[in-house]
Amino acid sequence: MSKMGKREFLEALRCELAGLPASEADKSVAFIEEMIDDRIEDGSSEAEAVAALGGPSEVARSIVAELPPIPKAIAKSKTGSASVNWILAVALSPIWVTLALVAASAAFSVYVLIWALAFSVWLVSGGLLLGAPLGLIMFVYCVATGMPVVGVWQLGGGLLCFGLGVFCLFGAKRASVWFIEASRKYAAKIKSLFVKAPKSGRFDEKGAAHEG
Amino acid sequence: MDAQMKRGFLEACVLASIRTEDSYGYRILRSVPDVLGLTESTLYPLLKRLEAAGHLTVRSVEHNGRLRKYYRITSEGRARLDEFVDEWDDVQAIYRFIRGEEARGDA
Repeated sequence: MSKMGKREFLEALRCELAGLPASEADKSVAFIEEMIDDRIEDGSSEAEAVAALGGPSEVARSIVAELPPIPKAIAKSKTGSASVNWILAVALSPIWVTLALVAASAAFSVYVLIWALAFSVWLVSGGLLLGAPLGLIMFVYCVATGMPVVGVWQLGGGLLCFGLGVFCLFGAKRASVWFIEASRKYAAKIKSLFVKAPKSGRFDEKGAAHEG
Repeated sequence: MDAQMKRGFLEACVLASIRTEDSYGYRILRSVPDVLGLTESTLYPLLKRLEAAGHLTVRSVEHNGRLRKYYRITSEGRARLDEFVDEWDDVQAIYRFIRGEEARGDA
């Protein structure tokens, strides 16, 4: 690649990035072009400015390496052109559509599971709380039909349930906070497969990829 | 340097390079310390990531008959930078421990 010109370099880079969505590839190329122009303005010759970047495939590799896992996999499956990728994608659709559906429904079911758990905890406490009015009704009914001892027993049982229900309510509240947190983390995890977030929080936090 | 550590440093350095005034890609590249080995192709995804996180904003400015992108730090970006600097005491304590200069608890 000795003495490669700017045009030539950018065209080669565009080809290397063919696996990316067109607009994304264009933006990457425009950025590199700006860098070449600024380097020339700073006093380099065109050939020097281009040579300073390294080879087009090297540049493309490090741009792709910084992508999140799924777009990276798509970009790396390079067949040279986006249209060939599309034809392959359509031809192989019976396979990957099925796999994608399986993956999506698996991801969704974990989500549903988290919420079903949260819901069931609330349902249990709701059921127990119902003990109080039911016990009261049974008490009134039993007293009215001449069975006061059974009535008191019913009322006692109802109140016991109510007490347990209140206790459960605190548990349910705590659990819900945990469930919301769990589903939020889970959603972020799924999202990170597609979009790379910058490191929020401490700089030594574990990120996604290890390239670079 | 460890890849993760480098990534964190690079993000902070890029933000630091636009802290006082807006800057463009080539100037940012020049201002970041050489030891971090920042290149054109790693700077681009880095800027994109910082933009997506709302740490900086981008605008295109006409310059010598072509467009040049200028990057401006946001208040979130400044907050991130302050946070990074605040971590320094912790990092130093860890560093001293690794060097064996300081035992835990007593000294």
